[in-house]
Amino acid sequence: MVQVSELHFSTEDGIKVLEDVHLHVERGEMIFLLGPAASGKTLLFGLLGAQIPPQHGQILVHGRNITRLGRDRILDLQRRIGFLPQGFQPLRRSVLENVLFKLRALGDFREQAEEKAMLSLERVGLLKEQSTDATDLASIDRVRLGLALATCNDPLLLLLDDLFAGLDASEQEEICRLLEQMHIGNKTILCAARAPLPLCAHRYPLVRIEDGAVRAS
Amino acid sequence: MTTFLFLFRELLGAVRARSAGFLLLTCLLVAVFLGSFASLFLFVSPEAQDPADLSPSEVRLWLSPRLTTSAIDALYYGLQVRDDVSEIRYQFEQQAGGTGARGLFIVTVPGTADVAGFAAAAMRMDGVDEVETLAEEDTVRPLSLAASIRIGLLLGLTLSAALSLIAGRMGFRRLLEDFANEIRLLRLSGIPQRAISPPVVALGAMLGMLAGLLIAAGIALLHLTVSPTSAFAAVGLVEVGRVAGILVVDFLLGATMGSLIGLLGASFLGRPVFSPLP
Repeated sequence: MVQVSELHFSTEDGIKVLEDVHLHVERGEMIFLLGPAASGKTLLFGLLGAQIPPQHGQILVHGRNITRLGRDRILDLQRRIGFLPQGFQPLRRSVLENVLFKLRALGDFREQAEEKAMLSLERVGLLKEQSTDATDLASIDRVRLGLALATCNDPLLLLLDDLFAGLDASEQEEICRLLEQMHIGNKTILCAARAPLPLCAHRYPLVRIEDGAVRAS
Repeated sequence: MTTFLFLFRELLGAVRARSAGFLLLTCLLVAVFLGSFASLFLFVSPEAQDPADLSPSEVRLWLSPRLTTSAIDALYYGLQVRDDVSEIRYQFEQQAGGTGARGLFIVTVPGTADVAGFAAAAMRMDGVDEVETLAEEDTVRPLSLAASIRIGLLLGLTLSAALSLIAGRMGFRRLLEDFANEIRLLRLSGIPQRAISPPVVALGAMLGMLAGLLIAAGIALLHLTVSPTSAFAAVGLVEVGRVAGILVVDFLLGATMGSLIGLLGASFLGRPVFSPLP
């Protein structure tokens, strides 16, 4: 599903941010990518999510080599990846309208979009909050909304960057259990986080990343 | 198309007080630009005065090409003794523009009230092919634009164009900043730049067309209210064809100007602030 080999990335100043990264994630697998701030997690996710063009190395996502894809194929791949970015900010509108915005922009008609949005809100437990202004949500509900947005168009791969940031231990545990439920749906999930991880995360493969290199997995 | 319409509506919905003022100002400045442009063609100067043009108390008699020189002399003396004739000037065929006539007399009558009577009498004279007086519609005096006003309009045209671009740029910058979270989400979801930019350009075009409509309504109102015989009726305002032509050109120019402003606004989308990743 995701195969990364010999991945290198440097800034314009020549500072190496990622160095010889190798990663293999099977279809339907959920793994946690653990690393401190500025270790290269966000950049790696940007590359895996086809949001940042790679410099050196190979990235295969769902059998497609990102380094060789044309512009339109890249866009097509981006639509098949559910990406929850670090520091996710919801839109200034209701919870339901947040999800509807993405689906309508992707070309769904209102009725179809509403059906999908309700389903994804129900999946993350936000159905009762559908009319609430998304900017008024508590931290944990913001994460739920981010997950609903990432999963509403049924992506093949979920990239969740710094998912547990700003949550207390019990909230982290709750979100982790929500991920487990999503994983039962056989989604491939990559979740980047900083230590300490919630207990339930330890049941899944863990990849440690430090200073732009994968140290252990 | 669905995505375009959806994003266009969302973008319109994102217009807040912060951007609305500048966008409204942009629309008004484009209207000033179009108004200045239209004025240059509506309030036109009259064409250079033909030296042979008649005054209200003159009558032009076109002489038959069959007339001999002596017959012309006889006609001249016959006119000279009439009470309703003050002055007679003769112009040769070449001076009259080589129309095939033997030449013409320009007869000055004592007053404009005598013109009709003399013209009727002249029609019955032997050797006179055609009688010409100043037609009533020709008495409408076109408003001529003084050079200073013309320069002022050109200055207004340039200044309003530049200011509308500046105001449009500021308005779109604020609008897109208010829409930044949405743009980031669109990018993250694989919506291409070519789908995000057109609604921005379309919004600019809409502003321009709105300005065009505003000016078109003003011109149409002037056209309908200004009487053709009024001393203030400019040539451009009373000619239906000219007014219609200027309305169309103004509207298209407004749409083009607005699209340019929209394009300027869409150029902001390349800024890092709209990047989906931190």
